[in-house]
Amino acid sequence: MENLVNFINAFIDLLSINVILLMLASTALGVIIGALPGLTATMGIALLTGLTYNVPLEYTFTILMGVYVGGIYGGSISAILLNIPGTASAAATALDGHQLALQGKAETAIKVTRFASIIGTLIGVLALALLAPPLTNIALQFQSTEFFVLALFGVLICGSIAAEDLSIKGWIGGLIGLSLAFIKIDSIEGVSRFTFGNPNLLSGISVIPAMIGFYAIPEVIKAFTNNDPLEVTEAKDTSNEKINVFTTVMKKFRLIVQSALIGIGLGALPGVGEDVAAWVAYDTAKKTSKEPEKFGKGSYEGAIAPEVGNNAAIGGATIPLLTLGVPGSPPAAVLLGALTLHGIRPGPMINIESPGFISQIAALILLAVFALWIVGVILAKPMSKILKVPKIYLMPIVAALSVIGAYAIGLSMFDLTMVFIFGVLGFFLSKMAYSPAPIVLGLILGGMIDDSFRRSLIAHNGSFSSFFTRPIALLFLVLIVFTIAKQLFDNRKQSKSKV
Amino acid sequence: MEKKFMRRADLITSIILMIGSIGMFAMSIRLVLRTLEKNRDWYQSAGLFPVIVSVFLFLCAISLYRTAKRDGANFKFITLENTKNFILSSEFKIASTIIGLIAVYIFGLLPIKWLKYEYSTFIFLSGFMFIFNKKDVKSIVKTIIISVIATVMLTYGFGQLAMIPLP
Repeated sequence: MENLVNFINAFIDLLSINVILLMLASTALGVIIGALPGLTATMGIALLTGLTYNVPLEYTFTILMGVYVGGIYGGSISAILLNIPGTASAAATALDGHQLALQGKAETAIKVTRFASIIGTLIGVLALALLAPPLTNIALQFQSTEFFVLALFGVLICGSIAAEDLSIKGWIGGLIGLSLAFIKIDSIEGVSRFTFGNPNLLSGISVIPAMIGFYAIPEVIKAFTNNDPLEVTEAKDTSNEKINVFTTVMKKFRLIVQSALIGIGLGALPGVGEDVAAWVAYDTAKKTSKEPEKFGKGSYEGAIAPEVGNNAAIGGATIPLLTLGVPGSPPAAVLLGALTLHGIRPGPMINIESPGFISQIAALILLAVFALWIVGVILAKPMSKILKVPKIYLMPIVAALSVIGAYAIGLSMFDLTMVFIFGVLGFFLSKMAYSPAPIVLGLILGGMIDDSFRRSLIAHNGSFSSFFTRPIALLFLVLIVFTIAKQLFDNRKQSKSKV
Repeated sequence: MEKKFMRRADLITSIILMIGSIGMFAMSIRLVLRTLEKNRDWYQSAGLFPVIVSVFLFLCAISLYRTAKRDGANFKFITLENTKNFILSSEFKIASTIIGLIAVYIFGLLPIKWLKYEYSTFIFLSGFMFIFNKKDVKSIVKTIIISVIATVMLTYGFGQLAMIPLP
């Protein structure tokens, strides 16, 4: 109850004209970024982190949370109108959303997904406001052993789930990320590691420039190499069938609760995030539907489930980010960088070091929900025109924005070298179906994993006993072994069936 | 990417990963030995976890190699003819042009002291758009106008509004 009161108080405190206007503008920007194919919520947050470097904390996170919520929803608009998901999290929405558009129900489909997104975000934010504060109290009991197994589990599960081709590629991505995280002066021994005498590498690879490289530059290149012409469906209904959006969505109450719980749960898993949440919500909705045969042919259930799932994952992904310092999704990983830049240290001590910050973030997401409602109504019609912006003009600007965005964070030309290297690497890896999510998560959590592992051994004089005697550590260790064993078993079964 | 080509790429990647992980293992072991030379405990060493990661990376690389082989990939595709076709493919040309443009912007234009950020950005944007756009007068005028507007917005947004010193 106390958490709910804090959340409501934080929301009331936020209500100033500046914050409201800024939230409306940033949510609108997020919707446009999310809707334009090739631009993602992660990329939007990463680019804006540089722009907001000198902006006060309250306004910074108003902008970033607005872009986050708007970006995740925005992907559904292009999924419906173009059959190209603006963000990966809207890929499942395209299956039924675009079918509805082809049946002359584009406007209704947009309204339904918008309402579903609003409900999903709302449930996610309630979970964040109510669950995160007690979780920080539990996390206060965590020692190095728990942090090690939790972070390692995060990289592993992210690798398993995010892999697009072979699951081994997800693990390789995670291990590459961990290897990149080793490049710096070691915090325990104080020796430089894998820096090859380059002084710029002594403090490690900056996360935000690396993420800009991984997420923005490959999209710029891919926009020109995939020469698909865009056919935009107009955002208006041509069908005579009149549907009440509110009733259509609310009649699917069981589906909403089911998809929201999936979204929150998967969002809270380190690094997994909105994309997977949307697919699992869609798949589960199909399996539990009374009309599964309608899925893929223009089912409203098929449009509602992924949108509730991916938007609920926003709140879910923010829970481990704030309470443990472990991001639940790629956009949350960028937020982690932004938090650090502004002197906020997410983790078990957040309620002591930055009291009220969790409620503030939850309140900002709630404000973004209202902003999404207004902005969504305003932008629905002109979106068909916005989506026609030629990539020939848009993508060079994204490239220039990536460069200045990365430079703004550290004012270092070396960061631009990182953007270039990771951009080129990211392009080739994406061509070979390596997801950037486990690489980035490995880079972010690598330091924590390495330090916690050795600190745990130091605390127990080199004994591994703490990994087996501490209940939470043991639980995650079992999960790690189970994940690896299941993957190996599945691979063996797959190869046997081929023979 | 077609599965056949994907597995060929996997085969090459697995070899690169094996070499990389062996290199990483050697460097990490050297770090562990240096720790032991200082009479410190092995578990304090900066090389300890990289040793573990390099071993797992090597194992994953072997698994990737075996999967690629099992799916029919082999090294016979590395011929002069295939390499020539790859380099002459439109995808390779477009990707290398864009990578080249970004490299020129980052390593060529921005470090020039006398060339201000706004000029280098305008050159980059207009050059990028010009290369991929139609070469008629209307498109060229559009390219120049959009490049100027984008340059002004970036310079104003980051330099004035966000008060960030520009490169």
